[in-house]
Amino acid sequence: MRLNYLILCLLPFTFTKVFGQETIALRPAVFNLSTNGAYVAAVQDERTHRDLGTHKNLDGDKVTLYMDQGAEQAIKSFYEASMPPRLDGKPILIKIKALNVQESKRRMNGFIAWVARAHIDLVFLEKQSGEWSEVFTIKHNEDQVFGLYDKRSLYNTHERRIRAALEYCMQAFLNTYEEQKDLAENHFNVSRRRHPVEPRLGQWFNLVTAKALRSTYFEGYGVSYTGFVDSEKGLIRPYETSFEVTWARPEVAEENGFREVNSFVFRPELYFFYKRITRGIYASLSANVPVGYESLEDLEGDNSFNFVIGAGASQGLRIIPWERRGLVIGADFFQQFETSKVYRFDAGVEVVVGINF
Amino acid sequence: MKQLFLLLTLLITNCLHAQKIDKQDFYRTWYLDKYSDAEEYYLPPKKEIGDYITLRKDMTYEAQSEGVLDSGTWMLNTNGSYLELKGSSQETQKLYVYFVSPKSLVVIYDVDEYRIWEVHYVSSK
Repeated sequence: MRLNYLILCLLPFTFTKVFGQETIALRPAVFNLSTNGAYVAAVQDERTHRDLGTHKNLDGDKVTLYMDQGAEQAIKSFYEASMPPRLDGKPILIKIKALNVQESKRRMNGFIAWVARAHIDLVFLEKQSGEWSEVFTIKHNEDQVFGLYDKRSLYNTHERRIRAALEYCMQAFLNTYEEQKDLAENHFNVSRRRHPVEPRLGQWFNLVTAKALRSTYFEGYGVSYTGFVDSEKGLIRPYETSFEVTWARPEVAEENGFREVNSFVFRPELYFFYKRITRGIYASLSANVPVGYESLEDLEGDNSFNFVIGAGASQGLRIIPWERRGLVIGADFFQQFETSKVYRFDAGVEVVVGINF
Repeated sequence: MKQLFLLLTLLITNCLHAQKIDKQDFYRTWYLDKYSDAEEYYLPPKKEIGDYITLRKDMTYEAQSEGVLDSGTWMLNTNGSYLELKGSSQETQKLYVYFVSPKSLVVIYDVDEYRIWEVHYVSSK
């Protein structure tokens, strides 16, 4: 008895991550189907984890989401509302291979937006000589984009995307399974090789980095914020803003007739790509437009300002050993043309250190 | 007053979302009429004048977009309130339906460049 009590007391410490729970109840929504009498007789949940995912709720607490009444009952009731069981109907069994809701961010029109997904993977079975046998499988994503400050709408519509995904799967099944004589072509016949259904939204990385740079004429420091969605294939298009403070190296300033040359530059990106080489290592390539000003002090001690604008390019590497949060290191080569009083063309290297979160 | 207006707008938008849409509501030719954002209406640019979508009962469609003709199949997802068009290139396009009546159809194209515009179609020129 005492031992039980002890275990009970220790239990909270054994699981370091226990989140609160919230349930998602599907609104009973009827949708029109042209069915010859197929109805969902049973739903089997074959997922190892029965939750829909863990996300921050609107109060900012991390909660694990579940389907109200459990996924099996919820989905069966949902389909029953639109396809009532009939005595002469055809019973269908549905197996749930995957069902979850996801949140991430991505770049949109030069800004950052939220993106939400309901992912579903279903197998449809019918009874053939007394045995359930597979007749149709479908993986489907319902993705929706929201403004960066519209997290409320995103969170409140997870339920709706699940319903939309369920409806999509059923329409696809019925279109393929039942002969639809009045239809010219099956809308749901899509080449999955050309349009694969990715089960997961890419993870969003936030990088805050500082860099030290040295070039033929200048040296200095800069800070950057970079946000990007990880992707194994293809080019990644990160969002970045950065600011640099640099100064002409003393001997270079003197050669040009100045005591001091300081330069303050923003660097909007024209083209900016990351390419994942392997897990945690990315190559980067950029073309940018440095914009800012130089403050110059000549040998007599007179100050003047000079507006600078130019064209820059850089090639580099970023190493992000820890995915969730941790250290970022990197290095870049860069080249640039600028309307500087000191140079027209400059090239150099920069060393980057920062964190990701 | 401004807040009240905002509240009203929100209520109206919510009502629109709650509108029950039916496949039959879409079986007609929809002519591009105008665009709008939160503040104003805009006339379509010259190259889009005459653009239309014909949604047929057999779930095929024909559309003219920027003067270019295309055809394919379409579907309505009632729960997600969207139309999905699959053109000859096999690429799909998603159009969120904000309002539909026999005379008018308001959608938002689920494409980054157009997501900020509501697109208004009318059923007769």
